[in-house]
Amino acid sequence: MIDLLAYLLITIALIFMALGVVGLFRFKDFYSRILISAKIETVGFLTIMIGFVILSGFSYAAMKILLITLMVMITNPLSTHAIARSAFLSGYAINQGSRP
Amino acid sequence: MKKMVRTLVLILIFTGFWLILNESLAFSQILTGLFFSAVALLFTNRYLLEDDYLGAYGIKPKVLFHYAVYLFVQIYRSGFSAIIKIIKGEDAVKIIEYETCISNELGICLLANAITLTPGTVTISKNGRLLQILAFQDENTFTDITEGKSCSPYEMILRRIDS
Amino acid sequence: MTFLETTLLVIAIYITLVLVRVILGPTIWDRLLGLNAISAKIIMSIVILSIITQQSYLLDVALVYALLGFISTVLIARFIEKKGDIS
Repeated sequence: MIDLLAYLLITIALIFMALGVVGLFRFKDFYSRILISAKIETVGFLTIMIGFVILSGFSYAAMKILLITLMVMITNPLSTHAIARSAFLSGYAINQGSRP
Repeated sequence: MKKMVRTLVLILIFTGFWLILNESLAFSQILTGLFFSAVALLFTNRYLLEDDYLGAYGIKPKVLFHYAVYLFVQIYRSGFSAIIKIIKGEDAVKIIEYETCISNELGICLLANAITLTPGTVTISKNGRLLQILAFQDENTFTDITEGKSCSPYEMILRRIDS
Repeated sequence: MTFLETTLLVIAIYITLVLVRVILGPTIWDRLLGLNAISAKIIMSIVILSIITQQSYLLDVALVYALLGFISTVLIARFIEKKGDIS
């Protein structure tokens, strides 16, 4: 029964990540791509990790997975921020791709 | 006295991490964990930070818990709004200049982290209390606040950070 | 084929699709974004592998991979931002 809940969460996460990959190809501008795709990753990662924790029960492995999730939740926005800041400070213009 | 208690709490948290990473609860393992936690805290205080560890990263547990729960709800809410954006496929972006009403340095960093973590906005640059935010053209959470001169819900939580 | 093995296969397909974006990507920041996404997906794959084989030491590998991916992304981004002048 509780395994079924974990499978449901993992399936939802896979759908989220599929939408993230679609967003990576659909948008023409770099800035809109970074706004959408990197963030859908966050939602997908959180959901799939909760699914794995439920699946592995109460053990050391589950606590280790929680530790990994906490670390990625802290470092993921920092690396997104570093990429966006690098593009902005290097002079890559806003709305360049959608301009005629 | 208060500083001693806080240092002890930090050492206990680090020992918990050590026990999880080693996957054992033996007595010798706990002793090693306590020793290495104390050494790591001392080393960080002496050589890696300019000011004190407790002064730079002091945060109330209640505020941290409230922040985490609010962030969790917010991530999922804006995740679903991002799906609609992908299906519609609009791609015009803009840059918002925004001044926070938090004076604490750690609070501003946590606010910037929260803005980046929720879909649809990315913090680009931070200069004192002025943040530059990259957002979609129809995003209006932060422009409304700038005209009304009040704080966003994140800041209402983070204002009580320094005990 | 169990459910977890199917999940592993789907994640592998996603990694291949993101790799196409990395190869096509017009600017270098698109490639960095793809690198970041691939590193997150590889962490998920390692965790799935550890659950399938019931060996928890693989989780340490995932932890180290998360740290290394973060450090490499930030370092490359700063290297481009300063135009190669790291001091």
